[in-house]
Amino acid sequence: MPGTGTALSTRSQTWLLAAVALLVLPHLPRLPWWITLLAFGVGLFKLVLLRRPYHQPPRLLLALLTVAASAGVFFSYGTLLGKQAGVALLIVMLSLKLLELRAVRDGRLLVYLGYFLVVTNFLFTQTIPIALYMFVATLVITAALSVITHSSRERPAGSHLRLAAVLLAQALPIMLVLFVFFPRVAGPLWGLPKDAYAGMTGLSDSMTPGAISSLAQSEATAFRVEFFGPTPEPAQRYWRGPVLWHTDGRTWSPGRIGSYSRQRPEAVQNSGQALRYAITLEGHNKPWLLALDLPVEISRRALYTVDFQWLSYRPVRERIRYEATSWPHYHTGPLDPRLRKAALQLPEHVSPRVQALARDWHTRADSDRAVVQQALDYFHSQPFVYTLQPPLLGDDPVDDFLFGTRRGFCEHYAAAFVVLMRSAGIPARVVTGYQGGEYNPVGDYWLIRQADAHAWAEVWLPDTGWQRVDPTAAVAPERIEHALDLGLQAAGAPARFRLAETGLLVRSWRQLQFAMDSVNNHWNQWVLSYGPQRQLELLAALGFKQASWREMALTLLLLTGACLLGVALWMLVRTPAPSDPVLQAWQRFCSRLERLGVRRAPSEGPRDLARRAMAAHPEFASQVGPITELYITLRYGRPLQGSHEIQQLRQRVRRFPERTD
Amino acid sequence: MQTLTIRDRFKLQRFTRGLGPEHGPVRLDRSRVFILPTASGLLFAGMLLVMLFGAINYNNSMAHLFTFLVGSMAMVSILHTYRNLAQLSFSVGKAPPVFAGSRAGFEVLATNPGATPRYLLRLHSPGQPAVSIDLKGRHTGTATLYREARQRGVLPLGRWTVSTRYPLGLFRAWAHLDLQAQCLVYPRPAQQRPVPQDPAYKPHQTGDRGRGVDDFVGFRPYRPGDSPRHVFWKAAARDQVLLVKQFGGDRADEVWLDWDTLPGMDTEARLSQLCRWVLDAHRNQQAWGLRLPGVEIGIASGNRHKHRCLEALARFA
Repeated sequence: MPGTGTALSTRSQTWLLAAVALLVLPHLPRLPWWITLLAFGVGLFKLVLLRRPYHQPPRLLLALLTVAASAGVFFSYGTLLGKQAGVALLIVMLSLKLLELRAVRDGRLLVYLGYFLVVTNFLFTQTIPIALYMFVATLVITAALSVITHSSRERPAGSHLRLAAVLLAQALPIMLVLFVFFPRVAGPLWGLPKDAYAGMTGLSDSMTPGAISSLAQSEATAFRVEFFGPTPEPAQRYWRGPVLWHTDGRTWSPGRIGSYSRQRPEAVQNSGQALRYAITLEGHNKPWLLALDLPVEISRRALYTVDFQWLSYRPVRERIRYEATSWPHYHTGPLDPRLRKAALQLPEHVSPRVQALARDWHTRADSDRAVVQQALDYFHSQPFVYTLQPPLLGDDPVDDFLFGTRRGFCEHYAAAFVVLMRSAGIPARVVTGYQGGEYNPVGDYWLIRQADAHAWAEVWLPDTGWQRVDPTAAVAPERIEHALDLGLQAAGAPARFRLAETGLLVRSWRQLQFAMDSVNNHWNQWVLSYGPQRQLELLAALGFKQASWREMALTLLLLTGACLLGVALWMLVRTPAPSDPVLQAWQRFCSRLERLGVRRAPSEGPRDLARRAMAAHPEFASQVGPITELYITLRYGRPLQGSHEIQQLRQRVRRFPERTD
Repeated sequence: MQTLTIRDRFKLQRFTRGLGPEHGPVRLDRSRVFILPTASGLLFAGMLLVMLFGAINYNNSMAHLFTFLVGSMAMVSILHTYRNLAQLSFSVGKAPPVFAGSRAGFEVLATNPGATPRYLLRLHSPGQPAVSIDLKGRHTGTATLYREARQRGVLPLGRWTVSTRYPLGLFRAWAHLDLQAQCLVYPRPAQQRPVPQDPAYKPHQTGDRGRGVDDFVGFRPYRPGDSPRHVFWKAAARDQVLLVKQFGGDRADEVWLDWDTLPGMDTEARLSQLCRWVLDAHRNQQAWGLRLPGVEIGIASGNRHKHRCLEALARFA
């Protein structure tokens, strides 16, 4: 067995190269091009080195390279800390370390860093394929550790892989116990680097119609919903998100009034059937908890705002699951004067054309409800086009949109509609969220994508309170019935919608997608979103009400111990101690003689021992004699002995000592 | 196999030094095998801790899962490390005598009673380089442990250690063993010095005509049974007579190597000198006898006689 200072064999180095290559590969797409180049260069150079070890690069060169690469990481990311820069630095170091593998110590360090790299990969993606890939990578790197440990031996590669596989397989039950019972703490423990939540998409807390010429069209999952009982009609599938009160004519924001003042859910009056469901929300780094319009109950600690949003106390940064209750038909009661003022706020400048249009509706209609209807008729009858790639809007976006371009998506319609309503003296506000969703028949849940993001309006009417109005539906009713077909959008063209496909191939493909998403959903529910909340729920289901830390630790310890014991028993059962039954029986006989006070001397043969035993215990002589003779025949006699004699010997030994008087 | 009382079980000495000398063969059972993490294993544990903190900090489920996987694997590897030593039985084999000042080698037999092969067994006696062996299932292997033989006399093998870092080098299991094994250490041979020509020295009565191999003495007629190698074939070809070359000249001197001929020296120096003379006498194919206070070994020659004399010197008290 080599000490850690012993030189590392070529074999170990080859294994390490393979393992590092396997680990670095999934990181490459995220890294700057020069790190990819460096990693490949080092890998190739190492391959040459393995054949021609005399070309070892001088230490000074390696030191310079290390400094240069660290500087490179700093210039690429502007920091050496944080998730991305940290991983980049780790990969650079790992690659360069490959060129400086001298002692066993270096090899072991490389393997440890390799395990670390496995885990860092999950900070970026946690899909099932990546998990499987990383399991294989862990297997290989563990085998590499075994090769390093056996540096002084030549054992076939397969034996190391097999050993690693056995170790990992035996570790699985313990891993499961730790995963389920290890007390989960809601992180972070300390400040996270700035880029920790980079890449989370979701609704924004402001809206600027016309500022961007195309909507972010993402197939990414926003959340999944399982209904307990009836599901809402397509026209009711509005998932409420941030409510925008304030506008400066171009940009809409929540303003000071709405989102952050509480109210009690009892203020809402139900009419009709309540809908109950569970939502698995992807992390989006914002506090709002999406729920079906109009949510009244939620199974998390959250804040209920005056505009009927549920807000989490902290930004939702990991996938969470909660149950909620909504009323599709509701009555919100009277309007607080403060809110009325906010709901009538208008930008400093509203164009005369817009004011005139609103005033005209107001004078012609006998009620607010009629004004709303006239506005919807206006959108429907005038040549408005629903498109995902509208032209940019000028200095007065609302005016420009209503009387100029007349092309836009939900944000444009919602914003223009609210400005018109407020101009007509009707309290109104913009609500953003999601609309629609796709039913997954395999997993029996609804999938809502980022592409389902939507904006609509709410107006306050004296007889019903706040009421949802979707001006987009007046222009493009299909938007409400069908999801957008993201593959078929052309610039400026009317939006295309996903209609029921009839082709067999298309249907099978969709079926497969449903199945895959269903598997993903279970993965998300049970593996990825297993955190403090889920753990509490699971422990409660297992009978740990209000589990204390001490109880948890004890359970953890007991279960881990039980798993280890199981593995130990399995291992020991597989390796029976002395396997020769004859020898086993004889050893048993000797130990029983010892209890009778006749201890076999190390050099004593069976006959001498028997003679002594018979002299000391004449009462057992009739047993000692045959046992000894049987043993001698079986052990030293003819080589072929049937199992009959062995059986006999074992039986006799088992009965010994037995008084036969 | 001896049983330990609870009190004995927790003695620190057992942990650091083992149980003390015992008769072999010794089987390694639970009470004998200890396990602790290696330095590299501690580093590994540190890395696991960092991984766990990272997982908690980022609330990352898969990071938790893989940290637990790797940690569990380390836990399971403890069992493999233990299993690699457990149930092995050790006994000692030969320990050929050596001269003081050299290394005494003790043959150790390691038997694997089970079917599972054992790898990376490291046998190590203090102050000596370790020996590393593997054992196939149901096999016995040998290794030689060395100790410095500084003084003449009987050298016990003393405490030695069998350890293993199988399978991943994260943990080291070990057992201290002290099997009854002895190696005879002859005195260190002193400087060359002539054997005193005292009355004890006398030439052999029969002179130099005996059988021997050293000097050519003359020819005699062939007798059946003579070695064909000694037949003088040249003469046979020339004269048609079979003659046999006769050898003699083995110095048939007899010499007494006597303690009393070395007055004024201390015991060890005397023994060293006697040792040198024994070796010289043996090399010169003399017959010799040895006299020590209380011990007398009669005149004889040959290897066995030499070792008998050297043993007497080694064991001289």
